[in-house]
Amino acid sequence: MRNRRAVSSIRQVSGWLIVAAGLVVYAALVLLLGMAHISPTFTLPSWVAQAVPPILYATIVRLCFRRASALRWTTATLGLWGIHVLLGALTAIAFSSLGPLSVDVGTIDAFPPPALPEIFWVPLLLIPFRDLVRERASRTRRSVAANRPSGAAQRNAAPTSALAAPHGPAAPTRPGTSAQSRTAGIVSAADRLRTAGPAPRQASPALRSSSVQQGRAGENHAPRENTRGGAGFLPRRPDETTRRDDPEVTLRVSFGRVAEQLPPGAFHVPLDQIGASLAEPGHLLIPGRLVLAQLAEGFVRIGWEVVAPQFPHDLRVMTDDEITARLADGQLVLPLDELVSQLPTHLFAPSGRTVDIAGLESVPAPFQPVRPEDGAATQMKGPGTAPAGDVTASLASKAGAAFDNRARMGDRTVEMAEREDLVLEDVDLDPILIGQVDRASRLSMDAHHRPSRRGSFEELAAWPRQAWADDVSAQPVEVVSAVDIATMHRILAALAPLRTVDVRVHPVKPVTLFTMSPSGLDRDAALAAARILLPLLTEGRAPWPVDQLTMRGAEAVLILTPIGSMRRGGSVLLSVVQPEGAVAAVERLALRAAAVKPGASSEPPDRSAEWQEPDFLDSEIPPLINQIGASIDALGAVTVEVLRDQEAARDLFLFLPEGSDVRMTGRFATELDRAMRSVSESGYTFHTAVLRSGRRRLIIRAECAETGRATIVVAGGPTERPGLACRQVEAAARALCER
Amino acid sequence: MSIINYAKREISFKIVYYGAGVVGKTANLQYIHQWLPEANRGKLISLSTGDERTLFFDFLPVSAVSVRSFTAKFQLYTVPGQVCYNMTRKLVLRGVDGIVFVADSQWDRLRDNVESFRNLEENLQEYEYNLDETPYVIQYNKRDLDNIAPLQYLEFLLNGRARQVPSFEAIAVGGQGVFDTLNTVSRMVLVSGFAREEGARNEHA
Repeated sequence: MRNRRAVSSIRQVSGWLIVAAGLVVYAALVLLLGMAHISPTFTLPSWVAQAVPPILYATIVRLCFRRASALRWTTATLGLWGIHVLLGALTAIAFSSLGPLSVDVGTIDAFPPPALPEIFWVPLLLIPFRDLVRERASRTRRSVAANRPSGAAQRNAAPTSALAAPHGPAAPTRPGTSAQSRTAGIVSAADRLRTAGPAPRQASPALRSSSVQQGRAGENHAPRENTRGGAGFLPRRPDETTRRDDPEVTLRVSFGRVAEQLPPGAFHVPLDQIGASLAEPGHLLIPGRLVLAQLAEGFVRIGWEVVAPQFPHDLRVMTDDEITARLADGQLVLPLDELVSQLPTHLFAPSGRTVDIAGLESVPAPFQPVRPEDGAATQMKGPGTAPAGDVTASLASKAGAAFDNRARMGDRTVEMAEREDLVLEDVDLDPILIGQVDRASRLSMDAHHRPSRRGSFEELAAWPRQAWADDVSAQPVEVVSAVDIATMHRILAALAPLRTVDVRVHPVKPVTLFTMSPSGLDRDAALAAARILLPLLTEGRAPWPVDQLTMRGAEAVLILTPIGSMRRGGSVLLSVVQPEGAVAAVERLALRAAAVKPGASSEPPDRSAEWQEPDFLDSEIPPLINQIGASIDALGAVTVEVLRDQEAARDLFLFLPEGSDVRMTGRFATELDRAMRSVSESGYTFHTAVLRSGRRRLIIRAECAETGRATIVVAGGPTERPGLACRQVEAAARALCER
Repeated sequence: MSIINYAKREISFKIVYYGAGVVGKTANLQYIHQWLPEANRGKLISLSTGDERTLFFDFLPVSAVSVRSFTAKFQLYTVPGQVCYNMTRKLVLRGVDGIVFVADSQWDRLRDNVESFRNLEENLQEYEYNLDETPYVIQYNKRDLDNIAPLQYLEFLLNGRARQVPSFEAIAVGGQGVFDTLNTVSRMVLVSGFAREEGARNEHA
């Protein structure tokens, strides 16, 4: 990479050679003029003679660097002029010391002035310094682009042009589909690229159909030879393509997708009634120019004042300022997918230069993956290769023939277990050691567990068919339902990146518990802990719908992920991870196994059930607690509540979004704390629980029990930075403990 | 960064998988590790920070088929995607020969993609590298999910520079597009490396 870096013009020798040569010529010219006693004498006012060089330099800089900012232009001009004056003075001193030549270089009231030769040399300095002027210009453009959409400035920024209506016939198709025509000539280029190497392994047809949109299989995975030529640092803004005389276009977004951002209590009536009473019922109307100005950012926000007139005044409780103050960042985030689908596709259509891939044809594809058909031993490399849909269908058709199912999949898993490289190495090294990674400790994810023929689907399935025939009667096994087997395969497919195959199934009424754990961790202890924690999830006690519950402790991290409705006998995936392990990745994969979409929380809390509420007393909120609450900014704006649990003689500090059910949350926190204490008797100790509910996190942390001032810190809210939120809650808990 | 060992007829390159957090960078490496023949790959090493949001810092040395009588070796890295680990990302980028920018196709991750792309450019500039002169490709990952943005908009967001680069749809956990991406960026790196080498020889001559 070193020799590819952009060498600044100031470091280029050739530029300085030109400058040096010019200086020699300059000296020679002055010397010749002096020796020849050529001294033009037509007189001009001195100020004119002084003004000519800077004007000339300013003109030259402007002509050479048309896009330079005013500051750079002025600086460059002044710089050249300064050098001009300095050189003239030095020249005068040098020649005055030569005496006999008696060059009259000090005269400044004649034109051309004696320093005229400087005018021919000084501009040469622009050659080595050209990047300083030019780069600054590009940086300025980038800076402007980077700051384009943010904050109130964007809200108030006047759009540059109106949204264009689609040219020609309207293009109602999704933007993705029109790529077909754009890439019609691209496949050939892609094919050229692919000729030297084998095609990589393809995913299942079901997968492909969902991923390759609308019959685009031919171009799937192919490098698209783009034909657009954006001119700037950042993607071209769509409003640059529109015509100024186009009429203003209004876009619509579903009110329901924005409503939850509005502050609670802002209106007299429920939000669904508000939606019906909007200017356009159920929708908010957004000026297209505001959307276009932000499209290159990947998200669109607007101020409340943009949509406020669409809300009936008589239904409002809060003023515009109050509503704005209570919005996150004072703005509403709009659903980008709805907006983009309403925009004409030509806004995103490529144009301009193409990708030059000609040179690549001479190089064969360096990497050739092992293909499934290369050998029987590699036919089933891992659980991720199993087409889940295929397995499910097969199971459904063989309902009731559990033995056959096990045996059929057993063939596959035997091969899977024979692989020796199903290992995830998890090494804790200082990043400074990049490139010096040597041998490090590794953590095997138990690819070679021994079949015990009890409880584990993998073990059941891995047992050879003949062995089943011999042993099944002598040693009965638990019957695993077809639904559980299908769920198991879904989990295995989702966890494929972890290379783990040690997933087991445990019926724990009223749910089925699937466990996944690496070796070195006590699965039984994790199972015991899960049995204690499960009622909190299955009985709808959590204040928010639960996508996932992560229990963090010093010895292990437990991740409980509901799969389907737990109240109707669904399943829960229990993942056990070492604290320093890949917790986030396992969380993500577990969510994927549970088919939980980000932001789509599953089961709402059961508010109808009557729980035994602790004897909570409202307490006064000291200023310090408010300060601590303000420090938890990763969870958005939170309000502070302090509850006193009389029975347990401890305080609950709750930092929750406004409108939260504080008492229900407090009750859940105390129950969870009680469960954590019970779990500690089973072998694992946990200090923090993180409940994931869509984009929201509820972090519960018990502190300083040993000091006699037991507290529970509960913080929650929507966050984009859950890791930071956890650290802030941890710091808050410490501060509360030390107060 | 590219190192040519004429004695052993080996040439080594460094390729970095860059992108926002949880976009599938590690999944790419894991799939590559899983499906490359054992003779062509080393150990996959995952470095975690131990922080709450696990951050992968992965390293996978792989060797390729012989190219122009040289054995091409590649060091594949991923970077931690989370915003707060920019120093680590900078370190990983040092001496990079090729970049795979992995983008999450989901609507709610587009902002992260754009910010990560800008962060990539800024970090490259720290080393006085120029993205326009660096071989790189873009991979639009997670195309199997429901809430994904259309390709045209993704291209508009991330591939709208003056220099257009190859881009790929991918489902990294299932392997779709993973080797296409790797092969293309590897070829770009090789072409660039050999061109540099020839240029250096000519200059020397």
